[in-house]
Amino acid sequence: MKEKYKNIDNLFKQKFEDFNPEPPGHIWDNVKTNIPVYPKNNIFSNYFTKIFISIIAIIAILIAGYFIFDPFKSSPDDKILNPTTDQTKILFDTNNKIQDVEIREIKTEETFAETKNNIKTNYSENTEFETFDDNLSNNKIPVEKTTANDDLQKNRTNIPESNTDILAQNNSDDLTQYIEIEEVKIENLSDNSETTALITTEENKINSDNEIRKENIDNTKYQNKFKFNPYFSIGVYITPEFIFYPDDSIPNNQSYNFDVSVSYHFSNYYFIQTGLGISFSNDDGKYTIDYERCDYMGSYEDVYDVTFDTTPQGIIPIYHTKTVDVYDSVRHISISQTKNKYTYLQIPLLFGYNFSKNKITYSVKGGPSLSVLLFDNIPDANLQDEYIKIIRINQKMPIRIQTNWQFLVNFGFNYRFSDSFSISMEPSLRYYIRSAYEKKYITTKHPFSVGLRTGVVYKF
Amino acid sequence: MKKDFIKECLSNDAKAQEKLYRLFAPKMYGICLRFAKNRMEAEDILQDGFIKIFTNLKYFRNEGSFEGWIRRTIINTAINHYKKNLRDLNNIAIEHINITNKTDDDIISKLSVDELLELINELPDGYRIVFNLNVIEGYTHKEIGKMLNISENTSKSQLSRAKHNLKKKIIKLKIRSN
Repeated sequence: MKEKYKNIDNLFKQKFEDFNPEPPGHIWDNVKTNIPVYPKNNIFSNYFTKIFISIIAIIAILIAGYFIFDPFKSSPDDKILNPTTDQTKILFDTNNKIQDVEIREIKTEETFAETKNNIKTNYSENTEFETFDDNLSNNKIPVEKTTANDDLQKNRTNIPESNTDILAQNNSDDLTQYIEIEEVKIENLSDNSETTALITTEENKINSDNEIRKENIDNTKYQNKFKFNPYFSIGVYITPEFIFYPDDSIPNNQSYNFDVSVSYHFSNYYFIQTGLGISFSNDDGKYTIDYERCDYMGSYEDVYDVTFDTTPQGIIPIYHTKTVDVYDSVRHISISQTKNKYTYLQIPLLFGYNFSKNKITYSVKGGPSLSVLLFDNIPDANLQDEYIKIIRINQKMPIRIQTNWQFLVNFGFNYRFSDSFSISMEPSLRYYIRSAYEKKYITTKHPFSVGLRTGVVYKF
Repeated sequence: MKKDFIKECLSNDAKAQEKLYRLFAPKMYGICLRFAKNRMEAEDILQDGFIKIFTNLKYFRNEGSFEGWIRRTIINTAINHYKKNLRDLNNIAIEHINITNKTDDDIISKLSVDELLELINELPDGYRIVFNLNVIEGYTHKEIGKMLNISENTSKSQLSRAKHNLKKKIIKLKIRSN
């Protein structure tokens, strides 16, 4: 039997395989008047177009940042990095008669002279006394003496006369004293001369100048050591957010953002940040469905004819009836709840200020952020009971627009646990310049959201 | 090509929309004629079905055959059209089916499509829908049970009755032709 049935099945199937009759023309006329008008696609509706434009925008911002804040441009202060090591050239200018500086060594026997109160002797560290007279009194100080010609070393200090600090008077007959000291008062040993000589040697000047120069160089090195070098950092973040619509009955939404951000620190305190992020959000979809249930309510006997029978007992009417089924034709309304899901691409451009204390960096940054709708998943309305006839379905949830702008402010706490890596926590406030929904459906003009952006940052 | 075609339709391109209709309407009309009692109801089903297709076109996810998606939409529209008449299917007890005499398959093969169509249209609603879904569309009884909210056994019995009914009509035709 089954085989016979199978034959019939195949025959029917074959007969209707190529059954494609042309429908009447009026059907298309009725259909085309009921085709809905779809929302226009713009340049941002295509997924790959959105990604491409975002990448181009990021590259353009980075290139502009490079030319504006060129980290490799040299500044006048860089000259300090290469000071001359030729000290002699620095010390003397063209006004001085003496062209070179010679440092004198101490030789010769000592002589002692009585000191006067106004004689003061300061000895440098290099001063050496070869002999020491036992008769030296407390008021006597050894004064080194050399002969004029013999023990002069190659380096001979000639005191330029232009130096007002130097009062040395050289007399060829006098014992000339050359002392490697910073400052000394020398009594002229001639009988007539009581000149107190205060010699501030060129050595002193040289030494002091050297000290100053050395100090300058050290300061420069110090400055160079701590001079700020601009750098980049990249971070990966996750941000849960709550979105508020104060003036509407829309329940508050949640969203989760994942983003990669690049920061360029062009000074000790200021930086610029941009990146790409993906945001997932959802809202509750609502449909009202007009339908008829067509439930079987019961039946009744409908009298369609009456005849009369004559019986011994009299005339008896005979009612001819037929059973009529009754179905529920009342229109019902049902509300179907769905969960709509949306995926956005976010492109922020933020400017920030930060300062560090110990291992923690505190920052504040703000700027615009562009959101572009990439995907949406809006389920159809559904009714559990399939035994119905649907009359009409109305979508009550407002439609989301393709792009919207926000203004973003973050307060950051960044803990550095190595030279390159740090973790970051940033409470954020996002102010929607334009709502994500079409204006005519929403009262709240500027929704806002709060979130906590957490991530890991790598500095390079 | 399918993606571009759908994209054009969603761009409110009237020519693309008409092209889509012209491409699939004949085949779908054939399905509607099999499911409906008469031509007028078949036209209603076809019209409602294509309005549903264009309304839900943006939700088509490019997973699977586009023609298959259109076909399922038309069939569901046809089923919904007769849903109220399928209420009592579950209440029908499974009776013993009369075994018919041997059927001459040659008769069926000689009948035209229109004649077969007329035979199918004369079936009661429940028989006709189950017959179309199982024999021509290829759904299993389990799938038919889910679609019509009936049991698998009910679907089987409906199909048996449908075939039995068709055979009786075919035999009558044979007698008439003889």
